[in-house]
Amino acid sequence: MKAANIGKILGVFGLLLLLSSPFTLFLTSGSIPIAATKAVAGAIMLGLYFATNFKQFGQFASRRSSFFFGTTALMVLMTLGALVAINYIAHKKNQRWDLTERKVFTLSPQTVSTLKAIKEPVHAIGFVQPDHPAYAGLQATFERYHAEAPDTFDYSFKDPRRHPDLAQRYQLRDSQTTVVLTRGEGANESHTSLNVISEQELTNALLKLTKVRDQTVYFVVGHGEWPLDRQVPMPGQRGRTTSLSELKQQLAQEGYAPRELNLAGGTTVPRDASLVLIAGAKAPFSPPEVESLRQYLAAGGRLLYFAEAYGEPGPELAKLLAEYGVELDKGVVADGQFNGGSPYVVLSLFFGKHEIAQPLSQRQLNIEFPTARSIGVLSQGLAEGVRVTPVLLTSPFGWVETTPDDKPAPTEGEKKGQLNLVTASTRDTSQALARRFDEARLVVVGDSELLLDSNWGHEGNRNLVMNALGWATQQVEKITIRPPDRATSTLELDAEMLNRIRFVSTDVLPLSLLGVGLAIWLSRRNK
Amino acid sequence: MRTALAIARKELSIYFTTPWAYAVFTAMQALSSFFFINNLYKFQQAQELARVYGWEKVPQQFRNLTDGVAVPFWGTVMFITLFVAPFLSMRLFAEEKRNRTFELLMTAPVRPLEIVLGKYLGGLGVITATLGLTIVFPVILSVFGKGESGSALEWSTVLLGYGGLLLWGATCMAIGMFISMLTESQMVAALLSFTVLLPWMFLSGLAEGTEEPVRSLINALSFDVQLSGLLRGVLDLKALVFFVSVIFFSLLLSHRTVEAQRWT
Repeated sequence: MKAANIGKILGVFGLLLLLSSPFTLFLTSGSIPIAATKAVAGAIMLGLYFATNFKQFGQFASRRSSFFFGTTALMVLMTLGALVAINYIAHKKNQRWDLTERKVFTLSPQTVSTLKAIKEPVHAIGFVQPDHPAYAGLQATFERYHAEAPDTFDYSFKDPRRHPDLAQRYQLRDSQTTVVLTRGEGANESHTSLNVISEQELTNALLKLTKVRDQTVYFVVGHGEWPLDRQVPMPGQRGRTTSLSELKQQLAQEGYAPRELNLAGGTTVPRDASLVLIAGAKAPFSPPEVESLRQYLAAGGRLLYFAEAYGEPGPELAKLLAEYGVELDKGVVADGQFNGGSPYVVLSLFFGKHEIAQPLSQRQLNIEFPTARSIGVLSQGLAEGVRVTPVLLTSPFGWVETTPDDKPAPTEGEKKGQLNLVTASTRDTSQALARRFDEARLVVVGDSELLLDSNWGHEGNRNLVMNALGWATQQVEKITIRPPDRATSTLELDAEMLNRIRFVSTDVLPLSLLGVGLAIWLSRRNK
Repeated sequence: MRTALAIARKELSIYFTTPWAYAVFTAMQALSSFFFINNLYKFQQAQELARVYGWEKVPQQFRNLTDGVAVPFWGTVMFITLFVAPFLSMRLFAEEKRNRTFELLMTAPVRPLEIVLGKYLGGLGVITATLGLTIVFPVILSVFGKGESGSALEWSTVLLGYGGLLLWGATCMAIGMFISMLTESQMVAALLSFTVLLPWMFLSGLAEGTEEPVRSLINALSFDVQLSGLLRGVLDLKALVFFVSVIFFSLLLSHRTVEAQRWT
């Protein structure tokens, strides 16, 4: 065989290899070395083709038609380039018109104003696999947000299976639909995540992310509270230590600044406090310390109190809690039926009608309390304007075990039934002097061990704590967006009418067209 | 332009006086009827279920005829067009080449641009007629359906969906015409057109296995992704630009291929 013919065959294979190398890289193997090998081999084969058919090129170039083909190739390439450019611009500066009657594919005015108010770029990462049913809807939602604020709202999708590093960084769990909103870069990056994906949730997360910066959370110390960084021995587990470092890290990631605060010596709560948190006090608070907290709450402060089963905050703090409608019961909560292996490890899936509980209830997340105290709700002796709402309860089989060292069983005189594990109190402080907020908020959680590093991995617990924190520090009201829907329309057809429609559609119409075709065919044939 | 319109008129008269076009019309009507009735039955069943067990028991889309029947129906028609369009476009040039009338056309005082535009307008007319047959189904829905705002259907959504289908049909015809220019065999032209259109239509399926930014690029090139908004009532400028670009590029390729006949 002539060298020129061999060159032609090589040229064809070379072209195939060269053109298919992008598919190898992006679609089939994803391997750069394989794709590069194919491309290089293809280029060499094409080179051999040109080398062995050089004479023909010389003849071709001298022909008149060659000029036409040359200019055509150039024109086609230039047109293609121009079209790609136009499409790129159209993609970047896309305009869209929602022609549905109720604008069902248009963002609500609340979302539009939220997006307009964003000063710093926000990036949304959808940790959703492409084959997930929610993928297309989420992408469409992201696109609408991006179209409204192209300079400040951007998005991308990441497959959590391919990016375990990111999944770990944002503390994601397998098989859950998650969106993470991030703002800032590097050490200044703050983020918030959400699982229920809708316009309402996304816009509220956006609000939270943009408002949360520089919120200081003060951790009260001085009464044996769990330390933020320092390791302390874990109760009942020899050789193991624990701290609140995981919580601290999460707070920093979500834009909160955690600080320690010792109220001894008549120290008042600093003015920049967005929240005061008491994480498992084991020793009593002194009257001046409680007075500082009382004044703070009376001026619209926000307090999160995590009770410790084996410790007492003292009568002064108990009095303050009573003013806000809550009282810690003596003893440890036990549950014979809903527990995590031991009656004292209480499992709760019983949520109250409170904003903190809503997302947990929607996602059906169980909360596990290692050693909890139950909370009594008071109706008398409350400060003016106080309202208390249960957030989380035990099952109806719960009881307060007053002698936890004995065999766990409900005995005479012990509180039984569905017990409160978390409560939320509010107080109208709009008339208070030097008020911080118009409403004081207090969340009392029956267990402080939820906060410990060793328990932080439990998704339900972590969500409960962060929801409580979010609710307590909330400075802007969450917005409610009612998803628009098309006008309801119905079809009331009886079987006979439906059959008639079927007959006309599937029988009369196609046969009529076939009849016309046959008539034309016959008339043409007979001509 | 007058010459191009004359060619288009001739093309249309050929289409409408040959039984082949009617066979395609019949197939289109029969297939779309079948899917329309199927959608209608599903909607009816969902509504009956809702009346007994409450509206929250049925998916949101079944509360409305536009979402429950019309939008899925346009999706089906889009798919049927993928099969029908190659059979309509295959004869545009391939038949002329096989009958040796193409040489006559090239020696006539007609510019290649007029030939391409004339043929394309003819093809556009016949695909519009084919898709136009399906408008009877929304009309049936609006006659028998009831809506809280008076009309059972959201006609703005329906008409935009119909516009999207016409754009899709016009794109198929442009690609099909270029392929028809490359061969003398009508069946080869139809088969090649289908082979090009089918994977292009479902390019988004490939995107699932890729990462950004390749995924966005593939989705931007995919016909079904670009059409999805139009069929549901959202007019996107980028989708219009995309379809017009594909049509323009196909017509350019057709024009250069016709022109090339003079040089070979």
